[in-house]
Order: sequence, then C-alpha cells, then structure tokens
Amino acid sequence: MKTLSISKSMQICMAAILFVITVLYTNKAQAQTTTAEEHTIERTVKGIISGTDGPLKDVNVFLKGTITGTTTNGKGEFTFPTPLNTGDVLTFSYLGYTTKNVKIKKDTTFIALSLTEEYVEFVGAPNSNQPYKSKQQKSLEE
Amino acid sequence: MTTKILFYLSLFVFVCSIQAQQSDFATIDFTKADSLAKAYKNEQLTNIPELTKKLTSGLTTDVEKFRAVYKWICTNIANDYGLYEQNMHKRNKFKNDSSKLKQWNRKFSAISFKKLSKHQRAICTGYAYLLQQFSLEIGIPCNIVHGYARTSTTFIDKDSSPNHSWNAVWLNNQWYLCDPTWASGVPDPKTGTFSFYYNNGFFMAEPQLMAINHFPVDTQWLLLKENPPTFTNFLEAPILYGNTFEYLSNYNTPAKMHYEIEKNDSIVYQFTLKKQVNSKDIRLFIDGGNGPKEVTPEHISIHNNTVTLTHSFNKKSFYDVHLYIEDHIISTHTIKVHK
Repeated sequence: MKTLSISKSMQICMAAILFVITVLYTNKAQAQTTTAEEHTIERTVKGIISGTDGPLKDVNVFLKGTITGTTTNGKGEFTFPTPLNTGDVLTFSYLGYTTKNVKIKKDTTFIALSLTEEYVEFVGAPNSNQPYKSKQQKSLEE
Repeated sequence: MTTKILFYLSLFVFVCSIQAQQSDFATIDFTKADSLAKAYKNEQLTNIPELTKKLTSGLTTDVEKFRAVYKWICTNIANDYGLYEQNMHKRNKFKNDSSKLKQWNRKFSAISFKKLSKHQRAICTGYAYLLQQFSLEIGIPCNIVHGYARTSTTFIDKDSSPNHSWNAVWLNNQWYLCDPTWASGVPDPKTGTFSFYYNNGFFMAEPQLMAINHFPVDTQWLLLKENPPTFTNFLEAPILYGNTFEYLSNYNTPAKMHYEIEKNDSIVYQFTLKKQVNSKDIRLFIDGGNGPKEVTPEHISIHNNTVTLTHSFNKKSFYDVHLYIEDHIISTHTIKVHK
C-alpha cells in the first residue's frame, strides 16, 4: 500500500514534469515561430529626409549592397520600391552630406532622418601652361 | 657571408627604388574603362551610387574600375576659376582672423558642394573629394592628400598655407598618386574659361616627378622612402608644367629653379622620357628680356630614354630658360650669368 502510494505520487510527479516539459517546449517552439515570422514579414518603408535647410531633394536611398533604391522627391519624401525585412540596411547618401545607414527594426515602417552637412576645407590651385616670367623680365618689358 | 648580405642589401635597395607608377599596369588595357567614362558623359552627379555602377559595369579589375570613375571625373568636372579666385581672396582677407576664416571655410564648403552637384564645377578639393566618394562606392581605399602645389602662376613660400588637394589610391597593395584637377584641363586666368584637356600624366604619376611640384602636408604621401625631398627642396625646385607629366617619368637636373653662374659655365639637364622623342624636338627657349628666343642646345644625347642636354651662357645677363619638347613647355629655370 505504501509502495503503491509512492509509485502513485511518482507517477503524478512524472506527469507533472512531462507537462512542464511539454508546455516549455511548445512555448519555445511558438517563440521560435514568432521570431521567424518577424523576419519574413515584409513591409513598405517610407520616410522623409532633411538637411540643414529643411527637406532634401534627390537623396539616394539604397538597400545596402544592392542596386535597389530610389531618390527623395521635392518634399524630401521617399517610398522604398521593394518591401523590406527586419535587419535590412538602407544607405542614405547625398553629395556634400555624411552618408548614413539605417537598420530596419521589427516595427520600422517610416524613417525620418536628418543628414549632416559634410565640412571640407576647399582649396585649389589650378595648373597653368603659361610660361613662367621672372619679375626682372616683366619689368624690362614695361 | 658578405656576398649574401650584399645580395640581400642590393635586393632591398632595388625593391625600395621601385616607385608606384602607371607603368606598373602596362599590361592593362584601359580602352573599356575609358569608353564607359565616355558613354556616360553628361550624366548628373545626383546619384553617385548608380553612376558608379554604370561606369564600372562589366569591368573586372579594381584598377579598371578606378580608371573609369577617374576618367569620368576628369572629363566632366570643370575647373571653376571664379570659385578659386573668390576663395583665395577671402582666405587672404581673413588670414589673420581665425574665427572669420573658419566661418568663411564653412560657408565655402556649402557653396562648393552646391556648385559641384548642381553645375559640375569645382576647385581641387572638390575633384579629390569626388574621386574619394566614387572610390568608396567601388570599395577602393582613396585618400585626399592636402598640400602645396607650384605652377608658373601660383607662388608659395615657407609661410604659405596649403593650396592644393590631390589623391592617393590603394591598388594592388600599393598607394598611387593621382591629380584629377590637373588632369582635367587648364583654366584661362584672363577669361576665367575652362577647356577640358585630359592629361594622362597625372594618372598614377611618378612620385619623384610629382614631388617636384606637389608637396603634401603629411610627407608620407610623397610615397618616397629613399631620400624624400624636404619642403625647402620643393620651394627651390624648377617650375614644371602639365605636359611634363605626359613626356617625362623623372626630372633629375637642374634640381633648382634659380642659378647664378659665371660666364661660359654650362647648365646640364638630365631627365627620363616615357615616350619616344626625337632629339631635335627637345628645344631650349631663352628669354634675356626681349621675349623667348629659340637656341640650339650645344650638346644633346638620348641614351636608354635618358636625355642629357648641356648649354653654356656666354653673356652676362639674367635669363628665363624654358625647355620644350615639340611644342610643349616642360620646365623653366632662371639663370643669372655673372661676368
């Protein structure tokens, strides 16, 4: 009787363990499915790009490492031509501004980005084909 | 043992003396790259990633891809003489006012980028910046080299601030020097107009020749490990012209711009040709005050592409001496002849 009661409680215990394992496993499986789904959910990404003086026209928007892309319109807006996945990276470039990369997060559908002007100290001595003339020779001519 | 050391030593010296220059890629045919640059002439700068892809499509080597974008820049970006003058004027004006100079430089940076993207016009740094941007797109390391440049009309001394920018590009595990601005053509200072004239001599220019009229702020960009010239050497060097880079691979002597000699002393020129030239096409024009007059050099010899030319001066005077090859000016020196 005592043996029986032990074995019965053991059975209950094992069943409980089995249940817990099953629940845990199912949960894990579900969690995995969710993550996988998140990766495969494609969505249209839109956005607006601005510079120092407001919206920037003609900013190049590219899916990094590909030739897929678009440019911003007169209002600085863009709609990316292909659906994007979480983890994709968009590159925003515009001559005279520092290029920026934006990673698509699981909830990204709209990107508002401001690009920073690149500061370059411009100098430049043009070349010349004009034969050199010494000051001495110049003064002789005058 | 000594022989062995000597052997390795000579090998070391030999390796060090090899300069990074265009002839390293003598087996590469740039026809395809050049024709791509030509095919996309008149494209706008609004979409550099796309333009780069167009310019390099079908090209397999890095050097060809680089060539295509370089050639495109040199044949599509005009030198803006007005912009250069405006900048020089302001930079001189604010020379001793660092905050105003900084303010101007910021303003000019924005002006320059607008000119570049909207009108495809630039001054040196614009060319160098653009070449760096295109190179980034194709994954080729390319630096902007800031420094000093000497021409027949731009004079600098030890107190001058840097006045030019060019590039160093990393190809086949080596740095090479390019000057896209000077390769694009020459502006007319009188009219301010610019005519495109592609000069191939500035594509992977020979570092030794380059150092005669380009001196980088950071001297590692001289790319000369053995006996690099000093800034003083550079300031004292003769005037070389754009054509020099098309005809010569080196210019050894005279190493200085100004000489004072005694009557009947001679001046010895020694330089290396990179293309076949007839000795009668190597000419001297001497200006003693009444305009340049052609003289026949006393002695001239070409041996293994090395030209040695000697000429003596038998009259006391002050001369501007110009060396020409065919109809192109190569160098200028001044010679003061004493009694």
